Amino acid sequence: MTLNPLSRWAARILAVIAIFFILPALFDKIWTRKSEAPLVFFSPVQKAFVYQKSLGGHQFIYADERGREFDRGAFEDLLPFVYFRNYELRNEGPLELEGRIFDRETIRSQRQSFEIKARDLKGSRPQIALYPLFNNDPGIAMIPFPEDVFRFTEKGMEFINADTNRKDEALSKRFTESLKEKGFTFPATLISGNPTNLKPFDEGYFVKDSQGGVFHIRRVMDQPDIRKTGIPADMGILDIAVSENQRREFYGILITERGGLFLIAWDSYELIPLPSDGFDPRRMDVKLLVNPLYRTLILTGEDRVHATVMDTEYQPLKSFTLPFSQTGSGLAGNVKDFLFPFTLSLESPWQNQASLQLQKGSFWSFGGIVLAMILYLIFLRRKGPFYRNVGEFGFLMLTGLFGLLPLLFVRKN
Amino acid sequence: MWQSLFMKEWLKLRWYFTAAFLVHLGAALKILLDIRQIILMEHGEMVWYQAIHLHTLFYGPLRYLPLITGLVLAAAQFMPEVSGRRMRISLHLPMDQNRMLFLCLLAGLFHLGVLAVLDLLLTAAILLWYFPHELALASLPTLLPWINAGFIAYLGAVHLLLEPSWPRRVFYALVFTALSSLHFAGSGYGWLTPALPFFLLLSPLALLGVLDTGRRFRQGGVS
Amino acid sequence: MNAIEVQNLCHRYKGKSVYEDLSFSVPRGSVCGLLGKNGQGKTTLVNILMGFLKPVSGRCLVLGENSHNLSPSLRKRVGLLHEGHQAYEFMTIAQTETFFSRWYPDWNRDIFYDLVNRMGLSPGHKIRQMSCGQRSQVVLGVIMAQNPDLLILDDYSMGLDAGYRRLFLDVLHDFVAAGDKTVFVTSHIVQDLEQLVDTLLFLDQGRITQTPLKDFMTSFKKFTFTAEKGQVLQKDTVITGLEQRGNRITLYTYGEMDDLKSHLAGLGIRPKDLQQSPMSLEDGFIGLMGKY
Repeated sequence: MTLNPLSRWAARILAVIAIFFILPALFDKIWTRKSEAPLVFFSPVQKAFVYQKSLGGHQFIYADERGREFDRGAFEDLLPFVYFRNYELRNEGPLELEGRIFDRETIRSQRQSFEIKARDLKGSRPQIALYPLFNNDPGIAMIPFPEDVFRFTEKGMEFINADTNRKDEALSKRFTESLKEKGFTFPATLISGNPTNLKPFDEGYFVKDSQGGVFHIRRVMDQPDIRKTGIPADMGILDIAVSENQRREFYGILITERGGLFLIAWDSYELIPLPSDGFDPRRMDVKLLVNPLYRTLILTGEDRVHATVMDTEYQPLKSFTLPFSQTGSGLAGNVKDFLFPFTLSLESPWQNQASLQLQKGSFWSFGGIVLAMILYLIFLRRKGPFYRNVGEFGFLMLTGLFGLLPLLFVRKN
Repeated sequence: MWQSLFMKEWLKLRWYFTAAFLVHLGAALKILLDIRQIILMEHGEMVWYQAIHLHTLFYGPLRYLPLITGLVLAAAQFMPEVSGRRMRISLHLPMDQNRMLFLCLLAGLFHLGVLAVLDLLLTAAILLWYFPHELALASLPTLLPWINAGFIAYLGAVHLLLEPSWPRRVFYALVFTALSSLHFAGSGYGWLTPALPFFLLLSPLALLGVLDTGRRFRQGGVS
Repeated sequence: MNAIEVQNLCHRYKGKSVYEDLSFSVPRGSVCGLLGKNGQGKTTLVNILMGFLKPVSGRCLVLGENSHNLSPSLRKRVGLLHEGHQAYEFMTIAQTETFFSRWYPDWNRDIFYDLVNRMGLSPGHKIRQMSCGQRSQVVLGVIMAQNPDLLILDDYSMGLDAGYRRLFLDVLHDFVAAGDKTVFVTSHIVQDLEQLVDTLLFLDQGRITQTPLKDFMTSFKKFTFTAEKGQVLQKDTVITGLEQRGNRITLYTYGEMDDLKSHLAGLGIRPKDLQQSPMSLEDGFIGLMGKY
């Protein structure tokens, strides 16, 4: 009858899985205040970084890179390009900076905010590789949804009509041939674009072929409009985030596996490198803020925000790192570690998809484990020589206090 | 001998299984009619867009169906065994008692599996009719966690029915509720796909775990 | 060789001792009746023998194997009748036969149908729709058809009317007559056992007394007499049990008539019409164990 001890261990493991998924989450819900990462900006007024930090609840502090705090009004005044409407309301007269005067129209047309979350990158979210290719028709102002979606196969680009659920042979052939003409080798290894019509205009898709070449594919008057970009094939592209913006300065941001960030310049497809030192594309969010005077690249990780301000030619001028803690006060965290030597969860801030996360506790967990063993010795220990309890002790060493529950409820008698 | 055992399980399950079969068919029919209706009302490409990029699931009615089916089949199979502790009759038959319980559980899981295959096939067929094959393919890893939740619920319910002591019953109820709830995390297609191997490991553990509860049932005789 | 052997059995339930150090054995080929008042642990003992309860300590061997861990091949040789004639209610008569027949190499279909057909029910009849008596026939049919070496019957008479009880006894009688079969039986209708058992086990307050039926029925005696008004008797070393209805007194003793006479005289009692009466097993049971 060796099966029954095995059976008990199976039940204990199941109990541990249940406990270490549910209880830490419950603990966090009640005691842990998760605060958002701080928002960092570059103030063109002060020529310094300023930030807004959440204290949990709806409380914020506003400060600059040297730690000077101010109220919200003063903070907004430091960022006239961001809070231009408020600036107008509070201050009479136009905004004047660096000897230039900026009216509302100039600011609006020269401002751009572009955010790429790690969780939205390729491989971090489930995505069926079917996309609508919007038809660019200069005669129509809005972007109507095409009646078909496209996919890339081993042999070509296929359009499937949504009304018939059949392949549109003619259209597929036209695009496949055009792609081949431009030197595209099937299949595609990356398809990046914005499959939405909630944008000012459409720039189609950036598609990487099997050789690493990047092609820009658009549909104009139902005809293929394909350009091979000069983007090097050996860059190790992770993903391309496309952003259709009226400024038409760049098509989007190219992210490499090794953490490189490049803007893809409008028309020329030249790559403009961004200061991406220390960037981990899988665990950091990217934000690019553009205003008439400066470009700011903000990389937000788990425990720090790193911002670099650049001139309009993307030459770095100054950078700033702001560490922060998302879990707030230390006491709750220590108590949690004491109770749970590890925690399990399915959600990760960096993924739009489940990923099994096992998070280890800290030094405090040892306290809980020792207490668990003492309680076990007093209340639960089975009679007989010590070696009969070795399994249980090993179990408690991993699971701590809440490991006592399975030992208490799943026993021989 | 196992044929005889399977006959016994089938006698208990047949009406419940038939009813469940019809309910699952009904759910598939509802999915079919829902999609048909929305495609008639909206443009096909917009429905596709919702399904592909907004992650709308048109087979939502299947979400909790395997779970409920698992509970019903467990009850159908084990209530007659537990009432008056009739399972003692079977436990006295000349077969290893763990093996006996294991075979009974396999019989139940098999019926649950048949319904799961039915769900998978019908969903895929319906989706293939209205959508590109990628969507039918994506329904598989989306349905699998829900189906596994059914297996977990089934095994959990058997645990509860066989367990003689109340405190442990409450403990197991909490554990299995927690375990099955994990299977419904997230939304849209394929959300749980990276965790599938982990989920698929839970069922064999739960199957193994029932055996000792079976022993406790056997030995937890009256007074 | 003993069919059942119990040595130093101890059992506790919810911290309360049920038995301490219980020992007895049932030799092969004997028919043994377990008698005891309610709450003395009869069902517990049967559950231990059936393997559904693990004793706290001590040994309990059934056909030479530990009762709580009988091997499948040995279970083939043991027929169990569960309290209340439990059967799978969702089966029909025919399904019951098919189900059990696969498990026993010696299965005798004729024995099963011979017993069951007496009720005149169709093979498609559901167990659920049967009376307790009818169900007992099916269960008996199952046990008999498997041709076991040892039968353990837990309160076979429960819910049965006189006719079905007689029928049950007839079948058991024939079964035992075939030779080398052992029966261990409990019943709350003690009287029936007199026709069946050859050995008695009395279970009382955690102690067990074993005696052949014949010895018990001859050495234990029932006397009746009329007492004088106001005389009150109590149990003592000679008077094992007594019943009193008005002045009419019934005494139970292991002693002889003469011993009793002198004992009563010593107590200052003058019995009128003292005589030995025929004693049934039920009388003996009451006389030995008391009424409550």
